[in-house]
Amino acid sequence: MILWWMLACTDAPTGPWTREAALAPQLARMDLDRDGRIIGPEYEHVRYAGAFFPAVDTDHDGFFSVAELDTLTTGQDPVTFFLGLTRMQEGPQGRGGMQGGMQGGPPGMGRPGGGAPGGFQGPSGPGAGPSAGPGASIQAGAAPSAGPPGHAAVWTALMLLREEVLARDPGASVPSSEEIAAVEAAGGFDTPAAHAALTTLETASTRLGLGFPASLRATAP
Amino acid sequence: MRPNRRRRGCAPGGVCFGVRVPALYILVAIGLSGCAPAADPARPPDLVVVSLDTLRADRLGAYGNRDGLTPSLDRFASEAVLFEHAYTQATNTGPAHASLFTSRYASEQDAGVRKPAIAPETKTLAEVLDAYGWDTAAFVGGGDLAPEMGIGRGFGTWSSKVDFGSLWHTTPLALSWLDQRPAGAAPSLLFVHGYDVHMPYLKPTPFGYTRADKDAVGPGQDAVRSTTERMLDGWFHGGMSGLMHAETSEVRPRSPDARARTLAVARTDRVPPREAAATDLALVRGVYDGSVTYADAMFGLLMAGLQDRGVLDRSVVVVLSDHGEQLGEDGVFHHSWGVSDAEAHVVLMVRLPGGAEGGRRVTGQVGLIDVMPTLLELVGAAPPARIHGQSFAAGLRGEPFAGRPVAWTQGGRDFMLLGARTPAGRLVYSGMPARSPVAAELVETAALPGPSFTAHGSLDAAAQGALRGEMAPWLRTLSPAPAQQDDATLPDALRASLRAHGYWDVQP
Repeated sequence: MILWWMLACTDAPTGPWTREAALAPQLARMDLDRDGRIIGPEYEHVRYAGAFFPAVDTDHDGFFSVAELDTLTTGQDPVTFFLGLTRMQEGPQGRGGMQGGMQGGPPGMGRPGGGAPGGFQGPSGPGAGPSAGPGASIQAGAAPSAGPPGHAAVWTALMLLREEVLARDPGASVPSSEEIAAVEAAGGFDTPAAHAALTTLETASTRLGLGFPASLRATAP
Repeated sequence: MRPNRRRRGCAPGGVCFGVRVPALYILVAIGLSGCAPAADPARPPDLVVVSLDTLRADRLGAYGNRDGLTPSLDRFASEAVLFEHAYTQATNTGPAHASLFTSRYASEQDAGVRKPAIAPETKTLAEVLDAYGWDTAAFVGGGDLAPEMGIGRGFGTWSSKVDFGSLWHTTPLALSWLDQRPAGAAPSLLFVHGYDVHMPYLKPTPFGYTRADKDAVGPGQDAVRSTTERMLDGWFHGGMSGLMHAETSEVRPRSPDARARTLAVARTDRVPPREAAATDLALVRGVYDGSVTYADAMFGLLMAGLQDRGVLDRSVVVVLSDHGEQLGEDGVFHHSWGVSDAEAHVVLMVRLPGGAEGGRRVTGQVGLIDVMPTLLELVGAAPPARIHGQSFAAGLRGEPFAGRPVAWTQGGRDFMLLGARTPAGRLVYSGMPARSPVAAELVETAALPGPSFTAHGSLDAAAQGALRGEMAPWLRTLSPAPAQQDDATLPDALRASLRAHGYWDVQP
């Protein structure tokens, strides 16, 4: 029990690189009362969208050990974890699914010749491993819907050009930020207000030799 | 070492291999200080390169952080030569790795930011080693390193199974590849990459909230838990999920119009803007730090796997980050916006076989662009022509090493930022950002050269003038490549995944 604490507290660990040495520092961070062991409340203090303490305390001794952290970490795909959060935000069905922990992962995570139970079973070639599972998940699940297209590009271009004009001639007549915002909000250039704003900006820009993009040229309302 | 012409032949396209003296890799093989285990002096060391995407150097204890986030990386530093002042040449994953593997700058590559394919005439590190008969393999976390991006040219294996995957995904595959190699196999280059620290920052229990309050409420928490958060111009941008927008209270928008611009975006996305307090910033940074602890644990597992296989002590192991991350310091979040230390200062540590020279710290400036010529020197291979990097092997040996006088970094999502960093300070050229086709058209039509140079640090007028002179040829080569120019050429799923992770912020 104390071994991980010793490993974690050594300024410059020496000796072999081990899985225990890699994971023990995380237990030290969780050890709120610094007694060298992690009990349920200390685990729950940082638990988020993962298994509850009884599920991770696999030997039921009341403490969360390095070996149990290893098992937990090996079983949690960080990509699908985040997708799980999304599902949780989207509705109760996803929320219920998250409470069982994110246990769908594959990895062997470096165990020579072996892997996590039900997961990636070790050496099977470069083409093997966490392929279709999480890869397919992120591509299917994380891709957001297109959402409203907006006109941020138009806004950006107009604001940049406005700033350029003012940088060269602070007294130039240019549309205000609000007028440019109105152009964007209108969703087109064919309103009287948009036409006026764009014409003003094009006139000032052309006068200063900055040109004006054809795609933003005002059309008659 | 000579190219393996009988087996591979000389690569077409003109890699010119000169006569090499193998003495240096003999030095590496026996350990530069004599404390490494015995090795076959006729065989060059294997090479392992580990890239921890988006990891800020200032989060490592070895780089001065006192929060205890990185015990494994700090241990590695004690066994390695650490470069205190290492800088990336581009603050975005694809271009940064393109520079790493070609020793050329981002703007010299074949395409824009989003699809930084390597220029045909450029030889990659893997191609050079392949010509010498090496085995090469890479296990990467997709996203900007997906095969479609073209960064993996020359690698015999380029495995990318998961978009924005972690070392959690790539380590097992890398170790399996090692396990399958027969005894007596050719020397190998193994590249392992993970987005462990990349947005979305929140990592699984118990790492995610180790450094932040999971029960906090507010815009910061909302942003952390939103899959599609994008943090622009000092605002958290909720995107399609419609969570929120918020302005940081710490850093003001860069221009008075930024606030109006962001409000307009908020209107477009139909979400209410929400002000963020200092506690929100602290929460975002704390969750980022949680991802650092996760990356450190994954890195420790990788090292254990390498050691179990006897690979660690017979290899030169390079650990680096491709770029850092803005966490509100310059009024923005994420990366590829600028060239300041938050994004440009990167981790660079080199562990020689047996940990020789471990603990040495080198103060001279270096860039990721210097890694390729260094590794080629260490294994006795000739670098291709037309590279810009300079070997820092002298620094590894403990010999006098001044470093490069200027470290260049290109930033902005269109490379319109160019930073020239000297020990005395930094000069930044800020061109006009062209984040959309429309804005790019504006740049082209108006022929805007970019309005400003900004000096940081203690650069005097003469130094600034000299740097401007060096910048001039660069600026003439910068094309206003719009960020979306390659959008249509990528698979829909990859494009959507990139967008979900904060890219393509401005929709055409």
